[in-house]
Amino acid sequence: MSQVGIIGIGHSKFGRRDDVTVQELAFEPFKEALTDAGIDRKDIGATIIGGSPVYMTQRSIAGPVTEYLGLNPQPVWLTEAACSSSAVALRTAYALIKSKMHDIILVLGVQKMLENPTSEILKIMGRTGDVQWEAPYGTTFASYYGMYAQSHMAKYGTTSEQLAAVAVKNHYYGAMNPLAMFQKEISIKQVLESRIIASPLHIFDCCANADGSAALIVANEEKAKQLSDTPIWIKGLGAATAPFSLLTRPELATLSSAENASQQAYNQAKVSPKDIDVAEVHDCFTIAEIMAYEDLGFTNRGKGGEFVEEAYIGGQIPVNVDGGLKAKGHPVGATGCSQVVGIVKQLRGEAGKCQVDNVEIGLTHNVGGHGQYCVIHIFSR
Amino acid sequence: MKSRLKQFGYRDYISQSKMGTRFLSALRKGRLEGTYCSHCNIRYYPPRANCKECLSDENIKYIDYSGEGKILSFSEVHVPPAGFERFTPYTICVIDLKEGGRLVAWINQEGEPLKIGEKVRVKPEVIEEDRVTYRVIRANQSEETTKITAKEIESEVGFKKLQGKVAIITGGGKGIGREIALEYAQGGAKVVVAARTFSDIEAVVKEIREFGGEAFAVTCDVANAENVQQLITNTIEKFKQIDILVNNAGISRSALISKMTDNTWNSVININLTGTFNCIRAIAPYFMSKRPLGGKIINFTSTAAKYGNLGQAAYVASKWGIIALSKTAARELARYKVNVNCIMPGYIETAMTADTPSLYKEETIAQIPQMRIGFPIDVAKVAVFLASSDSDYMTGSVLQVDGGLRM
Repeated sequence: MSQVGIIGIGHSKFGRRDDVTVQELAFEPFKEALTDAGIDRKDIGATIIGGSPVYMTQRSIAGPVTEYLGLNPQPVWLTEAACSSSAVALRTAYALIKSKMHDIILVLGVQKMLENPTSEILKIMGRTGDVQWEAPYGTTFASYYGMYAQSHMAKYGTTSEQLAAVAVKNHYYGAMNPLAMFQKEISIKQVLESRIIASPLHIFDCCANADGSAALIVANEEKAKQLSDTPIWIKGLGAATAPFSLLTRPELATLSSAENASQQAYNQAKVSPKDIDVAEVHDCFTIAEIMAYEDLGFTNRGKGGEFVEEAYIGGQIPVNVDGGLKAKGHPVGATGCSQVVGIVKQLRGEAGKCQVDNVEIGLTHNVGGHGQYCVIHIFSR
Repeated sequence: MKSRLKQFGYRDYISQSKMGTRFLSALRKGRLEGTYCSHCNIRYYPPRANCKECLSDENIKYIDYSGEGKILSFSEVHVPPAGFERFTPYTICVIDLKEGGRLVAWINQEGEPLKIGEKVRVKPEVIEEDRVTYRVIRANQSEETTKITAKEIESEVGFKKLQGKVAIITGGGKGIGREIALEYAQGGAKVVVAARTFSDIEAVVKEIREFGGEAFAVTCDVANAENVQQLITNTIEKFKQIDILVNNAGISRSALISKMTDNTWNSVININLTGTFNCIRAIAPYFMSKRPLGGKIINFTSTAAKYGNLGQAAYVASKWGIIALSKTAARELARYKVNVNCIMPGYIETAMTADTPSLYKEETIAQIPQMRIGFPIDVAKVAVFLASSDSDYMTGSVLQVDGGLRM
């Protein structure tokens, strides 16, 4: 079986990027990834862009972006699965390389969200939830995750302090990541005293909408070995869905999509949760990271709140040691690629101050919508 | 009828499906109607038109739900999406229904703290005339709906500001005019609701009568002086007097000056400015001869007139003209104890502003110091003040009702 490897990575500064157009934003990680891989534009057989077009002024961004990157006449298309758009793009790239349709593919996650005022973003995002039965009541993503948190608290006794501890950890690492939107540490007290967005979630329990982009050059085994001394292999993939409406979702304190997708990935990679050395999980809200610990099998069901201490470097499984969505910011279409960039850096030993020792296997967990999509990738050196 | 079956928020979406229309219609009648598949024995709430197991619609039957259920989870929203600012904070909850299925609704947090698993009852409720929603009743709350009749208000307040007055409201079928008609009626006035579209004013009159108020619909195009004369005559015939005239009828037609046709210009000026003039001219002799003397005229200008607005030459000219007209009328009629004042609304959520692109809407809201769009009720309350004796020493003034937008 031939493998699929990542041979180039790039990552823009996340945050408010009023200084660039969406094309220019895409160009930043593209140039970096191309240089990193040591290839030329013409070596790229196809481009897959992950992004959620509803937030952006420029529609059908695949065309304008590839033109700006000088990637005509190679094919390009956009994949969309809300916040997991670019993880889906990587999954698609994997399939196309395995099928031998292409040798080298550029996977690019790019998103400008802050072209809209916050209330408008909340409205657009709210429509990722059910517009027929839920959105008429002004549901927001914070309120969905607020309801998950209430449910988790009632069922397992999880506390607001435990949620806050996730934010504290991710800001601790974010402070060391120059590409993160927020580079400052926070305390549990600060989180608990901050204003409520949707109970029980405080503003520091929520990630920030952001602009940003990240790029991956993905290649077949032959090209990867030929072009790179440190290819990072995709060992396992998983993707699953859960009922998107809370009206039919069986359980609110877990994301079954994540549970199912991670099982697929573990099986394919022939590893178990305890083999994971470092992980990037989708902490759009602090409760989401706690649920991820459980859904991914890092800890037992209901014990996520206690696991935060084990998610620091030196703990059982360091999680989001680049700051996570919480500190990096969450440009929805770029987040999936950003997570992969974080894991590739760890596996290459290039993560600087946040390097975890002896990393062999890394995992990314990218959730779309409020849990209706989940895409997992497992990587190794 | 279909247009009346609107849902709250994303209003027309649910009405697009046959199932949705039937569902809303059941809610309006006070019933929670779900479906079930008699073949697979699965219950669906919200209702489905086909079974997700056997994929067939042949075995789908309708069933009434009791509304009993318990709270699955809840969250109090403090940062709302666009359009929900005026409700904030509100608490969203998911209710697990006893018979199977769920619904999302708002819940009142008053009393004991909410708990997951708490038993509740859900009843459908029609609010703001056409919006169907759920009312979630907790154990400690009364099941009675809070629909207050005019009589109840009277007994509660003991005194009504417009008791015994007769008011004419032009453009009373929709938006601000409709809200003023309702508020005046609640305030004890007999209301003549005038507009060009009979179905609109008929609906408003019906609504007023439903809560025990007195109202009367007259079709009238204010641009037509004969129509206006007829309106005054009919009102006196019906109610024997007139105390308040609200010149609210107005339209907006946009075009850049270079592209504005005579037709566009004339239609706006004729309705907004000449229409207001027609009404004042028609009522002036009555007010001058009325005994005892006394009357209130309320005219409508706009914040757009204050600073001008792209593409709205006719609208702003008519609206600024109304201010000058009002001041002159105020001077001429002061000796007859008639007060003439203007209301200058800002950005108000009505049919006239409904089609504004949401981005523009957000930008405008961002400029409002009070950080929210205005609603017809905000304007109607000021209109009650200007119609009541509380404003007797005001005439020729312009009251701006805009949350601070164009101060």
